[in-house]
Amino acid sequence: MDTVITNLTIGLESALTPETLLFCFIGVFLGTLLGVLPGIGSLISLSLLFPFTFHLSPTSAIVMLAGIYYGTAYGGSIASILLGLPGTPANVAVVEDGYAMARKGRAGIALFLTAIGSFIGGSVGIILMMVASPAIAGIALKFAAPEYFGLMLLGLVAASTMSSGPPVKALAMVAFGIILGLVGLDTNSGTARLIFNNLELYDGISVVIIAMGLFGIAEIVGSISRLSSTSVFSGRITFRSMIPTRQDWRRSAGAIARGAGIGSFFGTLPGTGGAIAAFMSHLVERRVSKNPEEFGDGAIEGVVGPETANNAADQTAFIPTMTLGIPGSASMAIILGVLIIHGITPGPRLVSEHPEVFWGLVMSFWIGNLMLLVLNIPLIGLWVRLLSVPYKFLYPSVLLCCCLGVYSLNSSTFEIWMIVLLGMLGYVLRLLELQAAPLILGFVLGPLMEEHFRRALLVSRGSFKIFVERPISAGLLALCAILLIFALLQSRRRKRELPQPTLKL
Amino acid sequence: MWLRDREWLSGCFITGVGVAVTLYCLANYPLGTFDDVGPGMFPVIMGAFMCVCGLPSIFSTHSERGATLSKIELRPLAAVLAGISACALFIQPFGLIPASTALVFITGMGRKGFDLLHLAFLSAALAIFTSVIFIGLLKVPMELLTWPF
Repeated sequence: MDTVITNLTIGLESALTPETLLFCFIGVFLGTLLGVLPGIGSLISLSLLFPFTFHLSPTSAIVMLAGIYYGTAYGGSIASILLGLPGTPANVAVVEDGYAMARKGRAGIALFLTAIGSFIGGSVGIILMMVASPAIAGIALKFAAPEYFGLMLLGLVAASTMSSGPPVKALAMVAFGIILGLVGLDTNSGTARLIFNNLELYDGISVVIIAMGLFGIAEIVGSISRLSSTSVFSGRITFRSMIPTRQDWRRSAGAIARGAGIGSFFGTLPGTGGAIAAFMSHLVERRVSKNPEEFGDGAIEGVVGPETANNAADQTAFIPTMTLGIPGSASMAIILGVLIIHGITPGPRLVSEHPEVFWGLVMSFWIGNLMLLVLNIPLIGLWVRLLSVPYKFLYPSVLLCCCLGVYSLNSSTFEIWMIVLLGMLGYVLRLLELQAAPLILGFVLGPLMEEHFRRALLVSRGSFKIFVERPISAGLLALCAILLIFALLQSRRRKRELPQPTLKL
Repeated sequence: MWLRDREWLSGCFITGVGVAVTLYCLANYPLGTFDDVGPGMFPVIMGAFMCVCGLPSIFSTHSERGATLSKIELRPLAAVLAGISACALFIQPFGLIPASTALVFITGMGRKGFDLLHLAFLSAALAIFTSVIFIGLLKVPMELLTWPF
């Protein structure tokens, strides 16, 4: 206990300096602002803003980057709830319910409870970081290729059972997403797949383009004529409408607790992260809920749970980064890079050799989370007013920000043309009532899944037995099978209950 | 198998994409063996899976049949796609301001009863806002206004 307190004091000493607090604030503010803009997510913001941190002290630099990281995650949530545009793939899990809540005028409640849930999720993650880093790193090391494959398969099955439509079609969408994710260079064999002679596709399609094209364009095209003379929500936005009801609190409490647990688990495994945690949380909430038919139409648990899980995962993603030196995601890789530039090498020796850095970071993460909460709750009223902007002004702005955001990825117009193409595809999917959410998860997880699949088979020399011989992997696959069977049975039961078409005499 | 039946069409779409991907990848990328998985293996598996998933929708006779395709909203769709294309065409040769103005005007025309004056104000405001954020803050290499000739 003594050492924990000493560590906390060391941490607070470096974290509570005015300099650190200032940069934390700047990071959170900039991050939220950029995250709200459609087309700009945490990866783009971190890449574009990290040169600013070169002149700062290491602690300030990391604190500012962490602030940007959280800020963009929250900004992405704001965009998903208010505009129906997923700011990051993780937000896809909340777009349906969150945007439905916004259309009913409950956007303020959604934003408020997600802010609180995110804070709790982040705090749980930080506590885990403080207390259990080595133990967690140990468990994470037990996960090898077959386990990762099983985990991702589970995530994809979760994504397909999450949609309210028939699971078979959702699974088809997952497969489609995987195929789109495989476009580009295959690092194992050096073959460029499905690029149809476009060299720009060598690196694959960017996830931002998929999200904007499939969700954004289709949604906007669908809404233009419907919302022609009004706004997304045209009722009066009062302060009272932003305060959650007691029932909201009660339902969210469980979702937050479950989300924090789920997110903390998935965040510690390198390579998985916010997206898969959010989808799993959504699945769990749906199965646990007493009113599952509300999902897709504004169920508060479907918004708060995944966002909490997302934030907890983002937080615990620092654990493998700091203790093992293995970045959990591309954004983590950038933060790792900045640390190294400043002369700090994360790894098992960081905690013992530079305790003030490590604990200072831990404390500043907490302060960053707190600052996010404090900064954004008063601003919720402001953000929600965005909904009352007449749609005729809103949608060209959103489209422009999407296009420019995407252009800034590579300074190439190819990306903008890809949005046109994917926008058409997204509209077709919408007409055919095929879900885009499972597609994007397939897109994100597909290439990773293939890599683990190959690696597992390489290790086992072509034998599939490796997937069932290892206990964790077998367990995960069994869970997938159970979920699938469950979902198929449920959909068959639902079909039988639908009224049969009667003959008109 | 009425052509506007949504269920049948979605099944056709899924199976169609699946068949296309499977055949293309079988023809162009080596499958490899299980102990040396080649680049074609995973795409082919996914493509075949998609084919299979589409079949129930094509051949089903349950009660979701009869749901027809919702109306294709041509005007908003054309306006949005044309507006984005205009942005793509103008941004490099002419710069941010022409590209954003074109996008705002063309997409703005997607709704009935658009007002040119409103669109003009909106495009001016957006041009300022985006230049501050993208060129000023994020330092994305973009010209504000150039003449390529």
